[in-house]
Amino acid sequence: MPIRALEWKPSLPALFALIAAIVLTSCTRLTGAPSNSPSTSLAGNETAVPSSSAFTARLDNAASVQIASLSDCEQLSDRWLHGLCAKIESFSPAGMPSTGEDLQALSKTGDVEQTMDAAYAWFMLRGDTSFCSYESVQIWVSVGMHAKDGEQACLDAMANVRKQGIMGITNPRGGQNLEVQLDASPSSSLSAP
Amino acid sequence: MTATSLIAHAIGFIQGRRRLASLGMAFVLATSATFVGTASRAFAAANAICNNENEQPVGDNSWLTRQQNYGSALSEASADISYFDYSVCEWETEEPAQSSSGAWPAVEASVSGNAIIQSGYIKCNPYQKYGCLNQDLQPYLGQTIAFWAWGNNNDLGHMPWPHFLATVPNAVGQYHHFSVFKVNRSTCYWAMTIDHGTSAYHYTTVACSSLTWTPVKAEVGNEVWNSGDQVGGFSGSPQRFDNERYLDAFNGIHYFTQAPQKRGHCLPPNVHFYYPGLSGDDWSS
Repeated sequence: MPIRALEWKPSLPALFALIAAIVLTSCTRLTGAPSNSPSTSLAGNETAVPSSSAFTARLDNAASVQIASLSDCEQLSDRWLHGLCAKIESFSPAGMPSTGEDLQALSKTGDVEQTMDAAYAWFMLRGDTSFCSYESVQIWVSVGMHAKDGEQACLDAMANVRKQGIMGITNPRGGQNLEVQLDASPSSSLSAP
Repeated sequence: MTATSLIAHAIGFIQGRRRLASLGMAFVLATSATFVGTASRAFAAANAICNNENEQPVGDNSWLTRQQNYGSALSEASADISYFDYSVCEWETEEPAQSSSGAWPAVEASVSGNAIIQSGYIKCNPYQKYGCLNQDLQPYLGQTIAFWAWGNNNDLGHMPWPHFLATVPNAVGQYHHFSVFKVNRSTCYWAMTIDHGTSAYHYTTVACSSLTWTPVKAEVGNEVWNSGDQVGGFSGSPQRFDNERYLDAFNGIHYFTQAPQKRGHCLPPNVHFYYPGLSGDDWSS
């Protein structure tokens, strides 16, 4: 029986489309941008969350605040978490450090930990593992986890947190904790303060 | 020649000079070591040239360690460690992914990894790419400072990145007391400190609820991220470790009794241990 691929007779437009797709994919990888589409779902039997971006913040007095918009971030008295909250709300993958060089450049001008945490939360809220396809993320995870394969370690960690349903981000100087809710049904996984 | 290419040439020239200077320094160190014998050989063994091979793609580290598995929850790990101005590696053709030297006590989970709470010395190589990215470290690259770090295993939001804790006086041989300890009052937290109990006391904390693990292992370490980085000292004036101890959940004091061991993949080629006592010794070169 002949191999099916050998029987395929592509039309010229189809060939052009194929070549264009290959070129675009190659260029994307060269610049360190994610090789997966933003709608990529989590591996295994995880279910992607659509575009929910609501999350809760745990305050100093142990109360919880639902963050649904940028203005809600103002309720966070902790400056670092306030900044993180605003970054998550206003995050756009277009502004994310894409390559290792971007990461180095960011360390000279801004807060790498807060920026990467905000990006991580933004992608997690959408169940989008393309976060792990960025060269910058792979390096960040490789170094931070002493892992040889940063992408795999990143995917494993995202799946792990996904199972827990809530991801915590802590002000590294011992301050408040942001709890980003990952469940599609908000009321089911809000944590007690 | 355009202005842009002029600038590019100028940068290339400066970089070339820097590489030559690095090579020259390495040659001087190596040559000196040949002539002055064994005592200085250990210093030269701080492998002045960065090794980009042992950390590929990135993420490698190595350390000399004294570890103690206690078996139940710990409440403190601490040590008095002398200040040391580590020699970090020089790059030839490309900045290393990571390069730093440091020393610290820590508590960890039963399974080692990112489940750690530590404070100690660190000197970040200013010529590296990814190891010391945090904003609070930037003013202190190339300087031995006190740092703190904590993390959870398999948790991207809580990786044990080094953070600035305090500057330390540039006095070789002067001891500083580093400790991580649990405080369980109205709230529960772990403190990461330098010089606890003195006027130079600095600390930061992490809430117990932020940890996903139980500290059951104590460790004192001397860590490098590149085989060209120097571990604590050389035989003439080594970095010293004293009063290396840990406390159990009932504040019972235990001193480290395990011999130092090598861990990881990028240790400098010449490392030796010397630990005459249970609680006070120098054990790296």
